[in-house]
Amino acid sequence: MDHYIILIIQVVFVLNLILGLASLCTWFERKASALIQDRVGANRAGAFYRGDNFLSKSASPFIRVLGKLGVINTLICDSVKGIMKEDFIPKGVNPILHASGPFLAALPVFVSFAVIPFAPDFTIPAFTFFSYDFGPYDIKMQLAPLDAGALFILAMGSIAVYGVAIAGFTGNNKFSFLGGLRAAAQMISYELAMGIALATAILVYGTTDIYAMVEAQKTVWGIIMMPIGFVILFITGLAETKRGPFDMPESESELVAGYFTEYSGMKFLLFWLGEFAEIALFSAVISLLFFGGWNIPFVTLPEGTIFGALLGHTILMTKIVFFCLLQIVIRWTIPRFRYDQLMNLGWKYLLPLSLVNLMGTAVVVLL
Amino acid sequence: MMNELIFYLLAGLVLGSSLAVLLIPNPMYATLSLVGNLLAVAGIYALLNAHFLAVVQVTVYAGAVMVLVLFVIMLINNRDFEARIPSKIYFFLASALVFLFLYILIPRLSSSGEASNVEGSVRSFGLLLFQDYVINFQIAGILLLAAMVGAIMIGRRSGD
Repeated sequence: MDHYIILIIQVVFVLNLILGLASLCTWFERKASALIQDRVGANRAGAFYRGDNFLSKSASPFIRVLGKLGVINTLICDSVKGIMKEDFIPKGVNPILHASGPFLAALPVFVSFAVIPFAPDFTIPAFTFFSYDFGPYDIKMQLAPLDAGALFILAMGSIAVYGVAIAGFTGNNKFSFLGGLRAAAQMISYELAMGIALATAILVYGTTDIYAMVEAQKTVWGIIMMPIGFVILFITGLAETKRGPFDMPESESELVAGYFTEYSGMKFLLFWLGEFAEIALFSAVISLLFFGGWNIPFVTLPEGTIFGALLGHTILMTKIVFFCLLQIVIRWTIPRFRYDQLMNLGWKYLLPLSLVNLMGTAVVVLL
Repeated sequence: MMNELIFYLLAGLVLGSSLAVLLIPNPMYATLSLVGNLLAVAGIYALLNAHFLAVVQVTVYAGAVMVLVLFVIMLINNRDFEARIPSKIYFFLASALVFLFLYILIPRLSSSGEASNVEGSVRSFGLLLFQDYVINFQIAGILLLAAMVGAIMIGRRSGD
């Protein structure tokens, strides 16, 4: 019984963490893109709020600051607008298939978070609460401590292709169709190099369990052991999120909005939510596999205590947020690839490089 | 109790989606049913604690092979090949073969109960693959390599 209650609390915690990271990315995307393009960005909704009773008056300075920063506009107004919009379904399209597009694009990303450890394991010591004895509880901040965790993320990533392909197909329009095909081709091409880069990491750490991989980086971070693997994984990760310089599938100047042209309201927002969650997931994978997770050099965290776990969680979240923001800045800085450049990079450079890297790492590990 | 419930749910999904693959005339929906079928089989693997096998099933079959099939079906006009069964003879021939196969397979399946003790972790799976079944593994590897070379030969434009 206790076990289930702890699990439910953990699920709620992780879900809120993902949504929080996704909202942070949404806000930062709006404001950072504005700053990079020398605009002001969202700064109106709520910026002049005065309030009409005591409670709202005393909260109004806070609301005004949030409004000026664009938080109210991007997080509250846009989501309410998305919910109120007409749910448009193109003519001659199966509505279930149409709805399953954004669902299948977002779901695998959320499921992948099940294998991400968000803090080191810790123990809640036994305590008494209203004359009931509780604990001690051993807590793993990883919803599903899978043996094949790193591979699980790869598998879920390959499922996400269906969402995009189905979305492009059910758009019943040439722009969405082209966008869907481009997205599927791009994701398949870059998945190969990504899988091989992950295999390098698995070789170096000698395990596929993400928790054990983080524990193996207590003294040296993974990026020092395999810098080429990191570069390949980072580039393929950018391509897998279909953003940054790799946003051929939705290139506005050619395809309206690519595979989600025919989606409106919440279905449209679900694609974005999935995309931002994917950024967060990818940042988590990079910081866990290559940047030591909750380890920082020359510092030893207190093991097994709640304090140590909190500290580790803070360190990990700092890294994750940093990589989220880095990806958004990259997206708004680097111009889009041409399609042939994209395919050349994937098949002619990244794939051979990752294979050579795998061979080299295997030889080094064997020695 | 919970495990049994999930098993029957997955088994129902496997059977239902297999039937859907056979009976649905639209190739797009048939492909998606096959994807559902493969995912449900992966779920059964996971239920048997063979996590590695489940993950590989999802990556290779549902993730790679079926995406390519979907790709081809999306690119080809649907009306060109909607449910064309050439002759009923094939139908009966195939059914007879399947029954023969099941007749041989089922008695052997029910007698091999020891396999369920094998741990499903990546480590034990790898040890099994590279120690006890290394010959089979190598042969499968050579077969895949030959198939790959063949695919490249067929796919190459003549005159290159």
